[in-house]
Amino acid sequence: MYQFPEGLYTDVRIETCFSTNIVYENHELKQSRVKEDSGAMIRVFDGSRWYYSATTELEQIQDEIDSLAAMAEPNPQIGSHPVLSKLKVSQGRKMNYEDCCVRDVSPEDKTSLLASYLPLLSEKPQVQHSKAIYKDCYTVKHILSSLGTDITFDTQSCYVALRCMLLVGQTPGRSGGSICRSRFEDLKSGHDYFRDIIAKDIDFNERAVPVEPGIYTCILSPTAAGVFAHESFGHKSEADFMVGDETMKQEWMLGKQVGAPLLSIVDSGLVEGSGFVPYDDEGCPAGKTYLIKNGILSGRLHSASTAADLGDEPTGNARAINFEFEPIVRMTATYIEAGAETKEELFSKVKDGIYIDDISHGSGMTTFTIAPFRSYRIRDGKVAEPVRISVITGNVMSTLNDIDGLSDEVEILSLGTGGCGKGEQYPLPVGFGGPYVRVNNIHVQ
Amino acid sequence: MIKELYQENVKEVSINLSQTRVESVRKKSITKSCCRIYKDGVLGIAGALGEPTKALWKAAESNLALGLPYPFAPETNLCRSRDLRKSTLDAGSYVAFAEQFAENLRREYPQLMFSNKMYMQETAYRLTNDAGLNYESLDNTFGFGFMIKAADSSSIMDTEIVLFVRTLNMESLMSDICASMDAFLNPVPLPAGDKLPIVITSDSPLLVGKLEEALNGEMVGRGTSLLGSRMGRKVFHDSVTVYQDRSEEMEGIPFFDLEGNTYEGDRCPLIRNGVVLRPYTDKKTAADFHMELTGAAGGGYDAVPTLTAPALILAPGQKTLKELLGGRPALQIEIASGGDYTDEGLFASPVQMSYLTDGVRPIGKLPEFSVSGNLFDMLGGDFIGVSSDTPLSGRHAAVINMKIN
Repeated sequence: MYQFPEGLYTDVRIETCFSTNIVYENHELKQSRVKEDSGAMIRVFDGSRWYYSATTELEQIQDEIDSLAAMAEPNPQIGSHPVLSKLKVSQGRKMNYEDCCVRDVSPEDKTSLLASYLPLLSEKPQVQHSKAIYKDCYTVKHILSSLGTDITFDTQSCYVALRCMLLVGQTPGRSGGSICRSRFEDLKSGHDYFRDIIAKDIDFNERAVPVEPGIYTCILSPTAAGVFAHESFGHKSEADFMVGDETMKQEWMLGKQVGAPLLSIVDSGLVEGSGFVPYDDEGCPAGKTYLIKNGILSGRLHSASTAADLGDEPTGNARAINFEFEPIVRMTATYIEAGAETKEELFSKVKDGIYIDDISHGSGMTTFTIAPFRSYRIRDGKVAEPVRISVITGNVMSTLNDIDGLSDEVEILSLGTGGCGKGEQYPLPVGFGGPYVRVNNIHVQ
Repeated sequence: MIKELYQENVKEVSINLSQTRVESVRKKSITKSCCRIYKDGVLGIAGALGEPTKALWKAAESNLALGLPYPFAPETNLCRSRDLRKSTLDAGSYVAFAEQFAENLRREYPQLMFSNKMYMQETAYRLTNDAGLNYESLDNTFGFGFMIKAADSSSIMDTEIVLFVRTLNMESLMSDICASMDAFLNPVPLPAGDKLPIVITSDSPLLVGKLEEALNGEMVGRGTSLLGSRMGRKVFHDSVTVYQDRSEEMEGIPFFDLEGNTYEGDRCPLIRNGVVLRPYTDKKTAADFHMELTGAAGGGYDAVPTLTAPALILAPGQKTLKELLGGRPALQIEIASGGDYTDEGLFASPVQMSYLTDGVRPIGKLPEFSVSGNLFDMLGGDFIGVSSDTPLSGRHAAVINMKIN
């Protein structure tokens, strides 16, 4: 199909994305967009440097290959370069969503689905401003390389989100939630979920008091636990942070005890949802990687390049947010595995603590942070009054050892809006989750 | 019927540093086009990557049938071009600059590793219609967003450098970076005191993040804003003036919004000398709530324009940072990630990376700490001022007393 230049590695990733965006604001239709875009990312590697080009002119791809090749220095030994030995050669056509493609659902059906949720936004007088959003995206990727990769695959997500501004007494507040699925049909039964969320948020805003700052035992909901796993440890497992860095290689040597023995953290591109990536953006098949297993550092996330540098195998984690960007090492669906306690047993062992029910955002460097959206005091093992918290923080490595209880069921969630950010590439769809997690010595303010 | 075309074009050469060496070069040229047709209070709209085609215009016309309400007149008979481009380089020259720059960094700081992106980006925004509107906003910026870690550190990053310039000057860049890195390599203890002056850029989300929500015209109109009942009243410190800013100080931002609205001097005051003047609005919000139109329509390039938080910035005052500090040491925040405001305006955040400063240059690296306060104190009794000079990588510095934990 393309003439790949001699003495260089070349690959081409062509993406075609069908998408829909429908928005009601205060019950009035504000947006209704349906479109299909295509673009390509071309990569050339000469053994010492990568050259990339992003283009929407698909008929110009050969010219872009030639242009990048002119910037590179042909390397007769490129075939034996360690990075090339890590690039998987994938071939075939692996389509998971052709039979339930959102492209085949009419815009009218999508608008009707969203409209079916609008009455929920009129049920409570505290809702002053509302937005209802439907979005979908069906993406087909075709990756070709000079090594022989020729793989075509698809991914799909669709979601409904409701957002409201509340006025509870004189105090403004927020409410909202989203359901994100892989199939349109699965979006039709979210009414009870949204009704509960709005009622919960109104109750929260009516009764919440500022928290007394201090150090608490916290129980993280599956959402909060997933964000904690993603931010506190997932990013540190991305091997591009370790390339060429002997200190980091020593610090993150596999086999080291880094957390409580009950703790296992997994990244998997095989879980259906927003972290589902059957092949990464280099054409490497998805896998399941234990980052921590029973408290022991067990794995790292890789592209072909980082796998070559660290002497590991690629893990299917080379991802880009779209064709405009080159793949870098990213997470897929990251979650904490289940423990042995029931949810009730987990709470019963907390005399005075904090329950983080939902979150706004999180971050993680040496210190991790979670800005709670909805949180409650725990008194004598029971969820008590709602409390307003700006941020909870803890040292990542200490906190991994301060986890002393996990519930026995895992919930893995998909992101409807937003996603993971790394450098210039935001937002990347990821999955995250876990069981309910009990963790001691968390700073709350 | 009026036909209108909105276009965004980005041409970019981006370089990735890894271990303070050029690891990759990326070039991109992306055009996004949106065709709009205004007819009988309805907007037909269709967007696509690339130049507009007959099919795209036809799709926009077909989309009139969706009945998306837009009962506002588009801008007409206006012509302006603003060109902020100062210098451009070809890709080869830019790569050569990057290689020299990386070599200089390696020579000066062999104990540090610089990674992530530097880029040269040319942006063009155009809004034209067949009723005489012809707007064009051009810019060319050089951006640097480096993550930095010490070779012997086990953190994935220890600090960062984020800066934008319109002219590349190796000496000036190295001087700016050296000032920060020399301080980074000099650990100093946190000064004593429960409440200390902190120094941050005047457009920091830590300051303007809550204002973006509180000055939203829709929220004000519906009574769900913290400032909704305070319009026209003096709420903040005398020195607090906040602009919605589309001036040339803001890199890569066009002088017009997505509806073609502009403001005199490209800056619209929302708060002046502590008095809350007006919220930010688009045409719909201004009409619905009888508010002044400030030009805050945004959204995706191919979306119906909708109210979107614009770039907000605190206006500089008359004193330099050194004069504002009056000889007191201050904590210059570089990274404060993960904190937030509660709905009532209480704020808390860890500060992962900061420098001790005397107002002239950073002196040393401080240990991690936390800050807390509330919006009305931070921009009220605890507000000290915004510097007339631009000591924070070309940005004005805001100074506030905050509680330190």
